[in-house]
Amino acid sequence: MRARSSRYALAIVIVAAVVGAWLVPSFVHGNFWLHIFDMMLINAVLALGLNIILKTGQVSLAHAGFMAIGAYASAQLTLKLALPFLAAFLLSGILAAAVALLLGRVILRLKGVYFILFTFALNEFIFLVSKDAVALTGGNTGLVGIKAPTLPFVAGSLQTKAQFYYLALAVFLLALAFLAALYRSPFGRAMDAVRESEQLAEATGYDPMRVKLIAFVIGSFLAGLGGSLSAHFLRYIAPFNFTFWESVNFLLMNIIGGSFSLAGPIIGALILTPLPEFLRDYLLWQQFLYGLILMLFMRFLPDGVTSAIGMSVRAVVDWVRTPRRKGAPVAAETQP
Amino acid sequence: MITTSTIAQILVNGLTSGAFYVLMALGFTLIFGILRLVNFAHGEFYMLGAFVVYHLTTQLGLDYFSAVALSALVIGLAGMMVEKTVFAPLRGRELSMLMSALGLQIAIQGVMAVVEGVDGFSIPSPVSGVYRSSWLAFPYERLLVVGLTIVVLAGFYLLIKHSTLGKSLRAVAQDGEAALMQGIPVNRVYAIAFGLGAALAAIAGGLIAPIFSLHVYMGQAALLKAFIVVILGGLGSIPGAVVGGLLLGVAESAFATLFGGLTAEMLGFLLIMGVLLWKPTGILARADG
Repeated sequence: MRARSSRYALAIVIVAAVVGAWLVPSFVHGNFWLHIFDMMLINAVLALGLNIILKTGQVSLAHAGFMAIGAYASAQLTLKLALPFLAAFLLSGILAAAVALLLGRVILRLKGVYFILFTFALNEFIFLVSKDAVALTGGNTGLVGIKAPTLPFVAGSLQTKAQFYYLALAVFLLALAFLAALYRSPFGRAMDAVRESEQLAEATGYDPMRVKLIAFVIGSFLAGLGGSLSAHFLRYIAPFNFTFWESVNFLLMNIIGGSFSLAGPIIGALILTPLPEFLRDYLLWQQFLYGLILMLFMRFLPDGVTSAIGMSVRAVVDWVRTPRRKGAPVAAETQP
Repeated sequence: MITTSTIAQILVNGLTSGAFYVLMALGFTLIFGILRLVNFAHGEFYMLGAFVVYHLTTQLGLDYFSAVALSALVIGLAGMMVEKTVFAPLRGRELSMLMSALGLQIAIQGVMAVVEGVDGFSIPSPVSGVYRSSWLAFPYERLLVVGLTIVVLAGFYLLIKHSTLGKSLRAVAQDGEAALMQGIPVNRVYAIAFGLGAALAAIAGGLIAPIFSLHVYMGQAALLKAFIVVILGGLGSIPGAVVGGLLLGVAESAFATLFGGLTAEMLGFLLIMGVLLWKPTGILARADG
């Protein structure tokens, strides 16, 4: 009974959130905020992509590198080969996934801190290549004049930020629905098992390497798609879009939101994307505050906002349900 | 055309940057070995060390060598306080510690950018001139870097091998819990290790400051080098940091001379990718890691 009612509540929340998200461009006017909402959705797709990699226990600092692969591929496929956006979009995801598949077989053998260090170096390497392979990437100046997305059966291109918003929202919802279904499937449990203990997972009949590889490929696919979206949204890409700090940002979205649920990376993207704007009044101290917030989070909310919300909701529910006698002393401390 | 003097020049440059890499990597690997912390803020202690030397010499008129020593002391103490406030409460949570180190890196950079501005500064070199022979030209300021590094390394070796503190450090690196049961004040050892690592980074900053200009973002590149060296030599391995640092310095110098700076920069990454895949525990690591 209780499970069913909470399931209804969840369904209502989801439907309300989707409808609310769909209506954003009708209420939000002005390019400034629309730009932020668009970026939130793009970042959410990327953070979701990292979430599935984290779910198998591998912490990747190369997510921005895979994003770069998608962004440059999509830009060049539309610029040089004049492919329609949708084809370039899908191909950029597939390309990032293919690179992940090739690399993953080898690098997923690395665990813990070694995987972190390797992906850190990999991101720097991709960053260097994006600076040096001028013929492919335009070097430091980057690629300009990337076209706005076009869609089949839709006249013209998605020129405005409001039009783009619906595309980004659709991609985000598809990614979310796919991951939600995947996490509920036996494969989702396999990923949890691998994260908790590879030996145990192996004993239960899962092949940890295979599970990690599939997760890494799917996560990188989403990174490639996110890269493509951002390239066609900003219409301009350059190496500084894909630095190590960008990878850290996606990791932060997961950690600050909470990496143990799908809500985590989404909430993280919602918080972190506009954060620089909120700190703008303290422009001088912005970087310091960012670092300080990160340290405070690690100290006091290491499992992220979602777990904190979950805990406080549970605490309130418990408090409401606890029968209390009228007139009973509330607490001993209140007495002098 | 490769001549004896080309090779000599490669070695001179390689040795200088190698000495610098060794100092950076030594503290980094010490901190990892003891605290299990990937110290992303390591480059910032190096930057802070260089700036303290800058202020001590230009504003207080201290001589260069005392300034480097004092800067190492100040940054070392600051490092101990940072360990106590930021990392001690997170003990055992590796990912939280790593992310906090990232936060610390961002925060220190942010503060220094406000305090010092983002322009470059320079420190006059305490020595000048070039040692010349028929086949070798070794600027004295670079010779000084190599010489001081050797002095610091010797001191560090004596400390680790022949002092009570060194024994405690080695014990904690091997097994923190067992060390605790032997009555070693483990928490103090953690703080000292972090302070020692920060002081080594500060010395590196002080040594390199007269050669390159200093600015608040100089830590990032130095951190990257420390990363590469410790992966080459094995995380937590002190001999590995020395060998890895020299190896990277000389290899980079050779590649820069023969193929240009860009190839040299790529080299570091290709090297560590190779090492990580072939032998993740580093080229010098023992079987027990």
